[in-house]
Amino acid sequence: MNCEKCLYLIDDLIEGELDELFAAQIEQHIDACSDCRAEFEIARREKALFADFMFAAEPSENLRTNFYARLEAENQSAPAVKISERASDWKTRIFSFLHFSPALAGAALIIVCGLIFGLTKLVSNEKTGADNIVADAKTTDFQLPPNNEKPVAENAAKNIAQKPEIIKVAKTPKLNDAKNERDKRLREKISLAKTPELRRAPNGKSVRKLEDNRIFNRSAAELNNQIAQLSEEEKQRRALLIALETEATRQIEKVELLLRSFRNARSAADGDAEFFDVAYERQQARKLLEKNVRLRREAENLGTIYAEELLGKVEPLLLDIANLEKNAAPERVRDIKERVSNQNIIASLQIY
Amino acid sequence: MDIPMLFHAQAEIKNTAEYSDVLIARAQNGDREAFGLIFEHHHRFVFKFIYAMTGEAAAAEELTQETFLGAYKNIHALRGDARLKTWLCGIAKNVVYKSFRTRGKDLAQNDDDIESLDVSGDEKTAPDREFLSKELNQKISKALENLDADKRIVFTLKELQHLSYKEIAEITGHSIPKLKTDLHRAKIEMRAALRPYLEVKK
Repeated sequence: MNCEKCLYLIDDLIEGELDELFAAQIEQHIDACSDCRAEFEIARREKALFADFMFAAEPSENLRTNFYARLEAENQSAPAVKISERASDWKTRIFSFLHFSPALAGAALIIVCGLIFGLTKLVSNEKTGADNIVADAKTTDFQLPPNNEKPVAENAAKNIAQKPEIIKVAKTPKLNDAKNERDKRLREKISLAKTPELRRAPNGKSVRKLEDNRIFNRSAAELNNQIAQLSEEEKQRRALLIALETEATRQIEKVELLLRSFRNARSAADGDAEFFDVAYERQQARKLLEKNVRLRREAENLGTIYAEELLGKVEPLLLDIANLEKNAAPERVRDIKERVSNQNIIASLQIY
Repeated sequence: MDIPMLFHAQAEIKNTAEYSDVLIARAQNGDREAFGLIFEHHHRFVFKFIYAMTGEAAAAEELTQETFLGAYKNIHALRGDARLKTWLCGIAKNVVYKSFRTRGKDLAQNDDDIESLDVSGDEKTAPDREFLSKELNQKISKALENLDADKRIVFTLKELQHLSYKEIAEITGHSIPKLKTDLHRAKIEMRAALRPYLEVKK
């Protein structure tokens, strides 16, 4: 090993990119050659300096608040998700016009179909009083328009006024004697479909996913209430998650730098006794350890396994480094260094 | 139910890469909170990259916002095999180079910006390091500024942010041999600029 080759490889040595045998050769040379030793120290200090530089470069809180404000503005001018990508054009037009969720619009459509069917069967042989609610998409005097935003009941009332001797409709036209009950059900459906609160509910998706019978068995108000509660709870969890994400990223970054610094710790000799000066690393580890425990518990509570796992992985290392003597015994330091490199921890921290 | 799916998904996934995939898929599907999490996860890395490139904290914040807005608009273009961090840095690089062009000059170093950085060392640096760090950070910033753009970007991403050559090649579009040559020269220039502060006192 000559000086030229050694100087060329010093950076790789510090980065931990050399295999063991090579690294040992260079370390031997460094120990023997004072010039190379000085270069090595400079390079090591330089790395520490760069690490501090990157540490100090922290964005202010403005970055986050301004970003979210701009994102909001962006969304208002151009929605990120085009509905047309999910639904064909006619659906899009109808849904956006109705301001319904597709499920509710679908329910309305089913009702209309049912009414048409019933009407064609019944129109000739049954008369009903004006108090019955009627709808018919086919006959011109009576319409339940799919793209009319006016409440259904209002339309119905208008039409009833226009045409007093109106027709009663049912899904199963032969069971005429059960018409009162069916009327009632029909009214429930219609009133549900036009309930404005439900239309505006923030989580239209979840409404869509409920099964029909569950929708019809509950009042709209009850449903709305549940949705509102759910999203409130969800908002809180998400806020917690975001806060944890930010803190965990910062913590992981600090641990990564600490472990890099620890990996480069060099032994010194005091008379016969060899030791490592790890005072700086020890101090850092003590600070990081406390936070690490807290963050890991939070991650556990929130069920964010990825963060929990990583924080849990570094915790014993932090503990051991924190418990080292100021001038640490070489075998203990080497043991920790070995565990760091065996578990490939720095790489997995970097990926996070 | 749809809403807590993110959390259910987290319970099932085993590693960061999968988690990242879930977030990307959800963001591509228009889930803004998923994109918010991506932002929370990566904005500091992107900010530091841009800060090292521009040397100006306020401008770096502005450009970081632009980077993420660009990412938001183009999230559909993110291919499955592109690592999110690499992809974001690629966007950030374009944003930074564009700002260089529109300003017509390299950003002048402004000492106030250094001062306004959060350098309260209490939990970041030990007191003995803290003493020098503020002044030294300005020197580093200055030295970085004196590198040309090709050298600066490879030095930042490799020496300061520890990305691999492969990732840097993806971001910059340069070949790995060129990156290595640039990095080597950048290191020499940086060492020369910082040498007075690095000498070991005997």
